[in-house]
Amino acid sequence: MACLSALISLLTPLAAAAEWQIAGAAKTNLTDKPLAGDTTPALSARFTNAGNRALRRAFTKTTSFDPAKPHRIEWRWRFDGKPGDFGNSFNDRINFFSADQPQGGSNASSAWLIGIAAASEPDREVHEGKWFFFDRQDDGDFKKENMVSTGLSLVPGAVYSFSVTVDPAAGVYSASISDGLKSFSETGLRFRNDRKGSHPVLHFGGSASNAGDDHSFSLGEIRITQLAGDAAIAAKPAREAKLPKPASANQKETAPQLANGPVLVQLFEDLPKGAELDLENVHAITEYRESATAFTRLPMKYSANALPLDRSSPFVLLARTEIVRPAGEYKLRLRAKGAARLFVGDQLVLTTKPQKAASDGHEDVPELLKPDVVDLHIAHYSHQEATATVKLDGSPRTVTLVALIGGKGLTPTPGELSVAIGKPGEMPRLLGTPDAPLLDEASWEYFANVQAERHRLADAHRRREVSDSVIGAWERYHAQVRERTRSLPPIALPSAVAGLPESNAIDRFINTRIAAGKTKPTALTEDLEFLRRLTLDTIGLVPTPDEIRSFLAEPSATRRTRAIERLLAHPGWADHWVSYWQDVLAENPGIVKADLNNSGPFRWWLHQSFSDGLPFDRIVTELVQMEGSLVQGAPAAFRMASLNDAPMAAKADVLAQAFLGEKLSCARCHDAPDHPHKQSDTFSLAAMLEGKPLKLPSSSTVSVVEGFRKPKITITLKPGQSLDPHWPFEQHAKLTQLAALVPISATAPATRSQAARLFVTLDNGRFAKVVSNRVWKRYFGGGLVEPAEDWNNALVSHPGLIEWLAREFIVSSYDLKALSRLIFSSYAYQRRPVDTSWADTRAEDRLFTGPARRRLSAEQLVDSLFLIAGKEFGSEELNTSPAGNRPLETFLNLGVPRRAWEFTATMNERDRPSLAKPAAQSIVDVLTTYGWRQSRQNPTTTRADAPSPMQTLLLANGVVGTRIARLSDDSAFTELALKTQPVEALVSETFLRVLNRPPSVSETKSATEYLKSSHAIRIVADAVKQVKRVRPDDRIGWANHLSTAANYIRMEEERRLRMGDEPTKRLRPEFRERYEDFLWSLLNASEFVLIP
Amino acid sequence: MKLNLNRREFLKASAASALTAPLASLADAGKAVPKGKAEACIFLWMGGGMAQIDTFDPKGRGDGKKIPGCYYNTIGTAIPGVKISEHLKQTAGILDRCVLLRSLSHEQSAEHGAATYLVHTARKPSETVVYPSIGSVVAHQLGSRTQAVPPYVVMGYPNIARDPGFLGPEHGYVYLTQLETGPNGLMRAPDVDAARQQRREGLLGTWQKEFEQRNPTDKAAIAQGEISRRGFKIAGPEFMNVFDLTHEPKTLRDSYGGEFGQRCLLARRLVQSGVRFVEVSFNLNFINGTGWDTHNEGQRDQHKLIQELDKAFATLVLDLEKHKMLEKTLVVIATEFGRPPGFDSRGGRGHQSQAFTGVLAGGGLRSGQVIGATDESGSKIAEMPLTMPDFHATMHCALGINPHKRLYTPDDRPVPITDYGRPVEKLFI
Repeated sequence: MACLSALISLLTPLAAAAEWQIAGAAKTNLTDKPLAGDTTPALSARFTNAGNRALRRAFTKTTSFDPAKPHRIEWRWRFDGKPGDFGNSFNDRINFFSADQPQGGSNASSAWLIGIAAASEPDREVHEGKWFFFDRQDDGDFKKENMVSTGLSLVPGAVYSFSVTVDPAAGVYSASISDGLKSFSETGLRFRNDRKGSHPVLHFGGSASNAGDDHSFSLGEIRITQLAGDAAIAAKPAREAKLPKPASANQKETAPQLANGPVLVQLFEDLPKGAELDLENVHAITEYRESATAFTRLPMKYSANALPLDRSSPFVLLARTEIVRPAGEYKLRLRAKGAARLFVGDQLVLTTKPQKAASDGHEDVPELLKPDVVDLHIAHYSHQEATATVKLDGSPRTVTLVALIGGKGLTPTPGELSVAIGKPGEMPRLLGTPDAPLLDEASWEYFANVQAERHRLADAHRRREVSDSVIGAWERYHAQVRERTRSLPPIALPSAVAGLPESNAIDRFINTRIAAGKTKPTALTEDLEFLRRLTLDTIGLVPTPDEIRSFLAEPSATRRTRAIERLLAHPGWADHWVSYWQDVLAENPGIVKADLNNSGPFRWWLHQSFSDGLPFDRIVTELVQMEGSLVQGAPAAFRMASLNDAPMAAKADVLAQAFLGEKLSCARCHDAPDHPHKQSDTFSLAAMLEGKPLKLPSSSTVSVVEGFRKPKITITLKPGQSLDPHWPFEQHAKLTQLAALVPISATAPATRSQAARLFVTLDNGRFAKVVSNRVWKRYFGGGLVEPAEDWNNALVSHPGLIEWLAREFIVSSYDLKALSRLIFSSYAYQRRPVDTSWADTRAEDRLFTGPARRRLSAEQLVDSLFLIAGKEFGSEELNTSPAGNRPLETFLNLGVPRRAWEFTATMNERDRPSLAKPAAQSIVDVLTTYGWRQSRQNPTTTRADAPSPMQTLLLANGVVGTRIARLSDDSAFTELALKTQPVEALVSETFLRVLNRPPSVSETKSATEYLKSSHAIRIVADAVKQVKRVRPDDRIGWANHLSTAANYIRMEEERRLRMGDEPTKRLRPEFRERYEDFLWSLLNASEFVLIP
Repeated sequence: MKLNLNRREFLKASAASALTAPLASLADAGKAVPKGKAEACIFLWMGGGMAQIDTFDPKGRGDGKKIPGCYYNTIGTAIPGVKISEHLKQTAGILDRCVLLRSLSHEQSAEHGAATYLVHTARKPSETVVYPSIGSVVAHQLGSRTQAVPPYVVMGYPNIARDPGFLGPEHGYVYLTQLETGPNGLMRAPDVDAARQQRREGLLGTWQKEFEQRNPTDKAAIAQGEISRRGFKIAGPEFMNVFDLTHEPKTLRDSYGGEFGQRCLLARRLVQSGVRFVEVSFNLNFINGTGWDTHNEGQRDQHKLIQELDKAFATLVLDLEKHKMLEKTLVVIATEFGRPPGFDSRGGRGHQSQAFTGVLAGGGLRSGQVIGATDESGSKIAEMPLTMPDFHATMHCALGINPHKRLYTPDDRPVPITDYGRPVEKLFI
């Protein structure tokens, strides 16, 4: 092996800068600093042209070097340009290659080729944003199939080392790339041009979408080494086309909900592009059964720890069913957003075209289609409908549907993909058994609801199943935790206090201090006061009259305990916790081009975690590891922070406040003035979350402005300074043996997983206490430690109690329900409220003589209002691309809200009526006025929700208040009023429904008097119930927001909403209005918004 | 027994300020800031990005294709030597009551949402503090002039840029999106007349009285009752009358022009009734297809928007003057960014945040001035660059609010009203 020292010096930029040629327009200069690892200065280049750009030079044959023989080329390279300029365009590329002639840029004549392309473009799919090694397969086209992805991205400022070993005679090379942290190598790569022999012209460059794009780079010393003649590289056999992996046994859907049905459904992912589907040779990733050939919802895909994952986009749905129909003519009707085909037997009978992605807003509002059969459900306008008449002969026929779902720039959901069959002119049925649902409006809606519910249950089932081993790992870890905890000395309980009743150990701690404080606690709540408070605290709703009656039917000695158990098992438990953690974890998804420090949506993962009853330490571990889908509600969405210079620094603060009581906010841009945190603490933890060293952005510091006084805060970090991953809270947790047993995901960056372990380990002295204190604060209106998110210098009101609660929480395997059960069961919780804001009371006076008086939270209020009226929100889908022809990353789809936490900012910064969501807005108005934040840019533990006149007004006159008090045909109060019963019974039931207690004698009297005269004649005998509801127009979105029609439609909806829901015709207006007045007065009573 | 444990109180008590002093501010340095005489502000929002080059900062004529420049002819104004677009005829005649700020700039040109937030808050979004809009800051600092009206009203869509941020929902706004419907929450449902409302409040009073008797010491219950009584007062006939524009002479209503003009008239009435800050949004895309976001074909009918602005704005200024309110009312024309002198491939304009114009009128400022200038092309600032904090500081000073005053977040973090904003001193001399 001969080292070509002469050539090296020739190729060293310093020695021979003049011999370089420039393709494109560039300024080059030699920097005085070598790249890390080099000894000679680097050549830096800044190009100013659009299109191809390259620095090139030839290394010709010399006496001691032959480019036609095996050789190795090594160099270092760094991107110095603007990260934003290497944008979303296919034309933003970087590449290094050799060719036999000088070239303007890489093309089919390149031999070896290494590079990176920022984005794919139609028909040119690349490994977007990942360094690739070209590896010719079937042809030399620049496409994914001919590339090996290294998995490494373009990191500005990182010094990459490349090495290419070339075997010119074989037309094959090996390559490696390293960014100092990660590396990747591959051997047996084939030349792009498929030409063996010498390719002596080296190119370093790429291409830019705009002339002004700053893709500056520095190129270090290039070493070229001749290798011995026997260093031939064997070309590997051509890679197999990327086919879906064979289905293994557990990919078959085993959820009982999806095990039966006449339709067999299979989903296929990662199919080779452009090829005809050869379903004989690929294997389904999922297989299940449906009751009919209609797909409004598909099974969610989950990771091994049950996090939602994105399917490949597109993916393929195949559905097969056998039908038997009497001989005759039938009309088949296929509805699909995108490309689909329908076969009867082997015969193709129907096709639909692929859906096109779009981006501007100038489309028209499409016409509403008229059904060809009366009452037929019409699919959303984004669907194509294809029909064909077929003759069936009475024998069984197999019908097969193949549909492509999603694709580049499209939302990967099936929409209303369906096949229906019927005699021409008759109402068709969905394809399935002969009694499958009809395709009329009501049946379709019912079918879609049932399907959604079935999949919700099946998803929950599958989450447990796929994460079986993860569940086991946590159980083993928790067993060790319990064992360790049991070996600790027990926490001493104070002795009982004479005269102060107690239910459990909590009361010992509370009573002792009350007695010492020489004060008296409040009395025990009445049963119904307790039930209202407990129901709100567990499931975020007021109790229904039926729940009240069954509560009162229990023996009085056990009814409270039984109610606690019943409510802890209620699905609303998850809903009520989601809203809390949305605040604390700053969940802030944006549905219109998120650009205001938005996170992604991780709400559904929070909800599923609480629904599934996961141990809380597992939830936190998964949050910190930030894996799964970015857009479909997984913790990966926590990772995102749009328009933020250091997202992980933001997340470090959120996590430290949430789970350690350490507030890093004041150490974000400088050292904290009144906390012991340095800015380096924030950024070291941020680097842990990032998984690699993190540079301090220049915008994350405080500058001194001329003419103003110098800031007094201390700044110890310099912009550009790099911080290594490091755990800044050694005082709370170290990586002990036990900590190393906390189960983590194998795929998250190592230091991030390490941080996850450190946050939750038993050896973290803070975690369990901080969480226990948060739960206590939620139920008592003040923490044992305040502020709950900032424990520095905080005094503890009941030090023994916080220890005790944390210990109980730990031995319950971090079960929030177990902890809540203890608190709800205590006598202290069951006392009547006190008029003290415990959160604002200093520790020595924080005696918890009763829970603090609280008002309904925004979500409790809105959810309870709609519950008692029995009405749906009637909200628009929280999505700005109803046609689904834009990617979810740009226009998230947060679905149609069913509980208040599901709302989000309507984001009409553009002030366009067409971008308004009037129904959602009317509810968001109430929520925000009561302290819910439409934008959660920062984490919040205590909301600003002081009483304000607007709160009253929105309930009294606003859209929501008017709807709730309006006796329309969808109101539970309308049905109540129609019941045959004395007016007193109606009054009593109404009180029970709204205020959750029977009326007093005088209240009954007043209300009865108001209603009596019209009650007797209230019923309009021949009037019928109006079932059809007015729904928001779902044709309007980004695509047509500039059209005048879209604007007028939404403005009209706003006006209609102001009128309130259509009043029922079944009640005479004389009575209806009186009963509405009565309802209105109860809803607007102070008592309604106060928690007993 | 109750002690407010916040850091501010602690500081006052202990004067331990060396460790805990907040960021520097002018006020700290003892430098006086000018104090204007305005008592209220009408903030006219040209959502979408009003092209300064086609309105208040025209340059040589462009052709809508290759040659950059103003799309219209220019005309002289009541400020000698100052020219504006020919479609601002009425405004030209009253420009001596105005100040043109021709050198506003910021760095957020890509996205409307982000730029709108920046111009309303003078800050970029942060993950540690949620900043209040200028309307909320004014509402927080000055309150309403009378008890029975809200301090801050928005005619436009509710959004984060207009929100109260850390000041909390009580410093938020009452909004309306259509004059016809009025604000949500203030207008009673159409089937509830005064008599029915009175019956309703009668019943409510019965329950309230009994509840308060049952809980005589419950301060929360009593406070809740108080708040609701205050609410009903705001929704009373007096304030609701303000929204009824038929109280104004028809000739005046007509001279204000279309929907936007009528909103401006309502703004005057609101300010008259005691409201401190009224934001009036104007981005009606039915007029030209795109509103002020005149990409592509949106440019073609842009003059219709400009004419509507001209009519409404000039009438508003003269109407305020006639009511002797102009000196005490700051009128602002603001937008998220301007537009470049060049045209796109379909004859429209892109975004330009590095140089655009804002207009101030009245408010007791020394009017008839042009502050700052762009270069010959209209794409760069040539003179006296003004940042968003400077723009806000100027508006705050006009309203007598010290732009360096510190506000406090709920966790007692000090946040100055503007970050180093310098008011345009020449307007206060």
